[in-house]
Amino acid sequence: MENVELLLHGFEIALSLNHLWLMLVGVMLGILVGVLPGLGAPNGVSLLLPLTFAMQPVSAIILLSSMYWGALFGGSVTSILFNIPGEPSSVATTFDGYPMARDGRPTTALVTAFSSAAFGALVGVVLITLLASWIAKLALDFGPAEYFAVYFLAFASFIGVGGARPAKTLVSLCIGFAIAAMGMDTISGNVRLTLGVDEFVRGISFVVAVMGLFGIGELLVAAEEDLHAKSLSSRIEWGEAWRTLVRMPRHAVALVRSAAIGCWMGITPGGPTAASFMSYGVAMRVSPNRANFGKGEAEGVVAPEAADHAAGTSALLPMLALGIPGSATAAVMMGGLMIWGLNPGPMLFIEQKDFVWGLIASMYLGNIVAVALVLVTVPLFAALMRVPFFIISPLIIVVCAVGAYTVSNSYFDVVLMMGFGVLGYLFKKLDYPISPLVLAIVIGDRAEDAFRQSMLLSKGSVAIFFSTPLVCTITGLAIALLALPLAGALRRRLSPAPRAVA
Amino acid sequence: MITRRALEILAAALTGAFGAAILVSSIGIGVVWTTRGVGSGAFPAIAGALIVAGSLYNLARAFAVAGPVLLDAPRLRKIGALFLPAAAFVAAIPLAGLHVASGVYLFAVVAAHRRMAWWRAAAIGIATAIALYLIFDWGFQVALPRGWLGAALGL
Repeated sequence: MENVELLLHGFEIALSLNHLWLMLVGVMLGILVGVLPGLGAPNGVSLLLPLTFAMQPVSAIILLSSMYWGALFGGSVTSILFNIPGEPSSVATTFDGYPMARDGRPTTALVTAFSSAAFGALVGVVLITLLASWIAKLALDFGPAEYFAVYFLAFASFIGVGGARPAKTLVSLCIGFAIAAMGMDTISGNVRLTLGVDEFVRGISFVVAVMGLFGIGELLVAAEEDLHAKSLSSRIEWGEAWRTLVRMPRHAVALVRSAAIGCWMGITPGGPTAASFMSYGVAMRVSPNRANFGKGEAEGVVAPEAADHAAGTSALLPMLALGIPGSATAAVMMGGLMIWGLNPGPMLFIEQKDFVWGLIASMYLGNIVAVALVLVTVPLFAALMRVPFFIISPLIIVVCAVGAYTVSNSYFDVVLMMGFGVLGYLFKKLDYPISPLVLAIVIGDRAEDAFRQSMLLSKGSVAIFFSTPLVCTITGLAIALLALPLAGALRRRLSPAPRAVA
Repeated sequence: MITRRALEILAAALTGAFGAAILVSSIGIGVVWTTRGVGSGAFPAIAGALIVAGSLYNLARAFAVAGPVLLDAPRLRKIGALFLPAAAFVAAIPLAGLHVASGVYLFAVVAAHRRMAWWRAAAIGIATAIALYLIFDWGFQVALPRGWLGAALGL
């Protein structure tokens, strides 16, 4: 029960007035970016990043992670009240949340969503509490080959089970790697791949890419869709809220199943968006009320919300223990960790105990703060949605421009961000996934280092990735995941003639 | 009128060109085994090659699938109405500085919609510029660019 002791110590750190205040600020800002179209958790966290450089790392991560929780909740508010998902991961919540609210039950829909979300997040945090230090201990014995195999597994799971077309995921992922490689080569110290542009000597920051791809790209999609925010009543009826809460245990099976799907998708970097869709799909398939899905079925809200938050929370587990972020936002936070001078991965659990356990404890508290705040502030943020889009959209562009500029005080980055915006729009229109690109920018250098160190150890033989049972299993699993889409395509091709098999 | 096929081809061409550029310059740095291990171009060369391969596959698929219209004239107009002023705003930053450019940009976009009195649009623009100054320059001590105008005024 060493973990419980460490967790209690973490609470001592997280429960200071200063940190509670940061949680409050973080959650409020998070709900704000979650509610606004175009701004999401990855942007919000990137925007705050330059402002945290002067803070203690533990305070900084509490601020950023609280913002993440707030954004996850904020995205659900707009999905339910306006049928506009504030975050890609809350798209599935619109399917049943909005019909429920439209048919006169906005409080029921909101409270169902928030309590499922809180349950999902709780399962995610408990999982982190129990497993993180154990995985980190395991990973202490990892050499470069094991690390590269784990990175490879993460990328393979994007391609194999990410949901988008494998070729598109591959292109997105490798563009991220190429961008990460631009600028200084961390091993030889030489400048490489500047493509003739002087500014690329210092490389391309992931913050600039996030601002453009997620911010400007999403805004362009929103402008095209012509969002009309017609709000339903946003008043919370507390009696109904309480009754909804009491009814929640009825959905116990759905809650547990959705949280499990979420945790799985969060740890293997499938991300919250894929998790919420998958969970919704599974809930619909197994529910006796299948016909009622899409018309305001409670489990149609429970399933995506619990999975979304479970995935969002557990995405921090591989980030902390292995240095592999499980979602785009976790990738941005990990970029922050590296800027603050911390080394994400197993050593964190030995060298930075206060940081790790302060963060884990703050995840419990932050989610409680988020549920309470989001319930109270629903009317406030609903009012914000009535501000016309032609005022919100230029404001968001200004915010993204400032965010891109402040990373390294460079005007070139602002121009580059606009370029990423066009790319992000194109990718969104054509269903290229964006998260793999951001992830690859953040961990590209580490993956490359692991690869080159392994090659040095083995004198250039790839056999090193199959040399021990552990590394062989991980590599094998990754290859199996890569083969999954191929197997699927093969099965589709064979299925028109099933009789021949029988 | 832009069809899905046209857009897919454009995307595949863009990613493919980037991949090819990375591949060519990686090979230039050296991908072969040296005394210090794998050449510094090897890893990006693999990434570049995979981008090219994936883009070629996506290109081939773009020709194979039917192409419904993805962007018609009204949609293009809406995107243009958002993107062109935004691009003008970014272009104006080196001249007018971030504060002034933001203020003018907000004012111009809001006023152009004609759904708000001009003085309210102006108030929104001025408030934006002041808020930027208060939050970043004053609050977080991050100096936003003043541009050519700022230099001329000696700020």
